[in-house]
Amino acid sequence: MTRLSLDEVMANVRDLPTLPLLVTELISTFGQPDVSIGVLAAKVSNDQALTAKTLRLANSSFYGLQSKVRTIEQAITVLGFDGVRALVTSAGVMGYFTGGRIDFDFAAFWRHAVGTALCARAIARRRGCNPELAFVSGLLHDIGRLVLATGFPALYADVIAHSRANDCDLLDAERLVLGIDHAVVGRALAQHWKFPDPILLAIGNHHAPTPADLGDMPSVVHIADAIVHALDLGGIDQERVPSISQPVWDSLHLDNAALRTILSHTEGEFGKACEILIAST
Amino acid sequence: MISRYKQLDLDDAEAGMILSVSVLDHQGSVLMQAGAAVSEGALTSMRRRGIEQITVVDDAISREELDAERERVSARLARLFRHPGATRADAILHDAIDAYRLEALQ
Repeated sequence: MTRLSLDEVMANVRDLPTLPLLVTELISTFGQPDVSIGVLAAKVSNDQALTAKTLRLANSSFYGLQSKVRTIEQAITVLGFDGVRALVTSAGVMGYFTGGRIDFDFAAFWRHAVGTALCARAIARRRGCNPELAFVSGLLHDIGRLVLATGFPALYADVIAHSRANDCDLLDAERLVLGIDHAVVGRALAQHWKFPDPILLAIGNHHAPTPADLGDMPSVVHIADAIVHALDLGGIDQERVPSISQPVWDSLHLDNAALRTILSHTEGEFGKACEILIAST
Repeated sequence: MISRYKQLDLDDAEAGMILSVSVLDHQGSVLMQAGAAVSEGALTSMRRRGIEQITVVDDAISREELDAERERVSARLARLFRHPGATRADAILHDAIDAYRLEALQ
């Protein structure tokens, strides 16, 4: 067994290229209502790849806009500041961890992440939580796994092999093989990147929300994660649904009708969202 | 995975088709409920609202195909929910997914 310390993992992270400045700036403004829309629009418009992806997402069927948006300013008018900020942040972070030559199924990782983002947003709408914050939290909930898999590829291959051989959750395999898990690492990365608290807590606590997290973002992501595994959207044969915490489930008050809507919208939006978000990562 | 739910570009949809998933606007409000038949007027209205795709009931799948798929879906769900120490919430989600999948195979 290998014991990785959080310091070792984070030293590795500090050697990575920094996130695009625009993305870190946007992330830091989550929760601030008084950010200048003109400034944001100008910044995003300077990055052609991000602009193109954001506009494709805004114009895709899962936003159902009445007319096509062609500029970031129009997208902000129609989707709201939060909506555009979530899309740009998602596109920016997803482009950050590149495949390289390591043996890790990035496509399956991002399919699960996109599914969880959509599902968390659908749950948040029912719960009256901020849907765009839920989208980003869902998208990034397993980001610690990418830090481990790209920073320590050989060790992480052992984690995956252990999980397959013993048919156990990756979280347990990480703890056993590495002595650290992706939730702890993800939280540290979220701190390093100065993510706002709701996202940081969702990443750090999504496997085991604390009593203070009940009904809040970590609970939303805990349930969204389980639902997406249960919908089998990752396309992996050895898929398994993680066990759901009963108090967390109860805290969201999802009746059968709500659940049915969440399932159909998550699945209905999934194909298009993957096509756009994952296409050029 | 076969399903009686078929996702279509709005341009390929025809009046009389039955919606299998509700159509939402960009704020998540329901424009048309699942189960409703689509009329020419509704198609025009959805086009005006920028809806690009809808999901409708597919009538072209045989009874035998549906039976075989139902068995496959139940077996797959049992495998997905194979964790030990299941909670009541796990059972609720299992049942909800089961009902949701079978609904698409009626």
